[in-house]
Amino acid sequence: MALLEITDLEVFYGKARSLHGVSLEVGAGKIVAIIGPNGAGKSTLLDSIVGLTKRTGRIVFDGTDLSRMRAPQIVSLGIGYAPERGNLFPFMGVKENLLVGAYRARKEIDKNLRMVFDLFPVLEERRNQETRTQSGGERQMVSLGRALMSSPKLLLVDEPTMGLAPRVCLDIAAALRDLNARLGLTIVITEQNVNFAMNLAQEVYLLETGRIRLKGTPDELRHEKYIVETYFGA
Amino acid sequence: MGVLVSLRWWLVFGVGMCLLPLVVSTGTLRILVFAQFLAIFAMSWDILSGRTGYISFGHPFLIGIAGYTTAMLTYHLGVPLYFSIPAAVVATMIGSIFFFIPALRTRGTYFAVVTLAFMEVLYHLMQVVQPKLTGGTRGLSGLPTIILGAVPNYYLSFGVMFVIGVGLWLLIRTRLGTALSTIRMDEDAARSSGLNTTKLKLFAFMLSAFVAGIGGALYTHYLGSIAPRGIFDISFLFSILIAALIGGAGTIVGPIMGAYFLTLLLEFLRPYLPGPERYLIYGAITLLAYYYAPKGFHNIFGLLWQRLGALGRRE
Repeated sequence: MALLEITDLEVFYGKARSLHGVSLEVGAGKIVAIIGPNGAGKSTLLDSIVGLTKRTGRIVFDGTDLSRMRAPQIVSLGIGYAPERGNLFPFMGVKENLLVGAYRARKEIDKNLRMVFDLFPVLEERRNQETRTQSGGERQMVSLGRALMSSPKLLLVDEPTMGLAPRVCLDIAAALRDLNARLGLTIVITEQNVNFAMNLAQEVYLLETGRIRLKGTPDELRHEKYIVETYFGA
Repeated sequence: MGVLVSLRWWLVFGVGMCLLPLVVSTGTLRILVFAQFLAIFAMSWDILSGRTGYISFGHPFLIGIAGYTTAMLTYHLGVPLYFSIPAAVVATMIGSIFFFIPALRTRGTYFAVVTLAFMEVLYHLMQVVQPKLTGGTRGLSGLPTIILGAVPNYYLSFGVMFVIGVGLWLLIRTRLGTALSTIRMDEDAARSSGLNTTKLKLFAFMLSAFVAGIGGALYTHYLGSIAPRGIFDISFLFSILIAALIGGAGTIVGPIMGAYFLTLLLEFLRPYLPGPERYLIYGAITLLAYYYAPKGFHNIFGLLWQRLGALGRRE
């Protein structure tokens, strides 16, 4: 059964159309990756799910239509969003950043904080450090942690590996796999790093110029001629 | 525990200031009354602009609404102060909605310019529309005062400033205070974390107007008069902004420090620079503060305190 269903999603920035009738489904307990180049509309797609853009079309999450809802209500329903790592609160410490994520899940603060610190022990060591002074990898961990503090059923992660060292990318992948396997968390990531996405996800959508161009399992897409030529350069 | 320790400092400050009339002249107390009113206005600016990052260049708009409301009620209708002052506060909070509406659609410089426009509009309205009611360019004078004398007015202004200061200082230490500062740092990230930034901003605007309303109404009755050129003067606006900025925006304690510093500095300079050229010093102070101490006195004192603590532990 699909936890998230998007039908004919369209987003405009002024007169420019960013998403053209995007439709996709995310099954409960799955990891789904949206891959595509810069400017394809990946971040816009995630922003639209959380209600940060004006959009038309239908977005149904766990049986609830999100189309007319705004971000605070949507987050309350159980969607956690980890935007690109620049979107932290730079003059706040790690713990303060995490607690902002718990604004709508106050009863589970201690449990969620423990879970985040177990997942990323480095954050516990640096709990009072201002995030503007952290490395890119740590900032990504804070971003993920903040999204997890809202006790989500669905985690949206925007470009988790952007600008990170390969070693850190592996850590992030391990954490996401762990969340999916241990807690059954459904995860949607957007990625330009196609290898990373294909190794992590069970289902992959290729988004280009605001349209879904291809979809399939990683194994299917790995042999797709267009993907091989465009993204693997072979 | 940290809050309790810091509250002890508030207590020390409060007791010290209460004892001050025993050792300083009434002339100095009158200067301090102005510093305390400036601190109230700077805190009102700080809870809106310092916390949420929505920089207001039109704060005298709010202060003016409060001042004119209570002035007109008492002058024309003989309404007692215990009714006119709360009415002025309510009117200011309603007036702040005019500020809030552009904040739904504009940010940064655009918002600042819009608020400046509000101030200018009210300035001209008070002069030309119904001058019989507002007193026109001369304003209204002979307004009733709350209490007479330098010492009672000192205690009144200090008491109000102290209560507002402690209240706001405690508030910014709560989750609500943290949520307000997320708007300044990254409003979109705050929304994506599930924070209702519209409600939070409305709360900040209302609270700021509440404080400006109290300050504006009391200030008007302390002066016993109100005139558009006084309340909507650009140097009055700059005093508020600079007090908050050099003290340390977003900290509540900083604007109090800045207000005392600025008022006392200008008085100190009076014999040397008797004319309006004294206000040139504003620009110089702002530049120096931004260059050498962008986080304000609050931060400087904090760092000094930490170093003293470290030295003490080493010995």
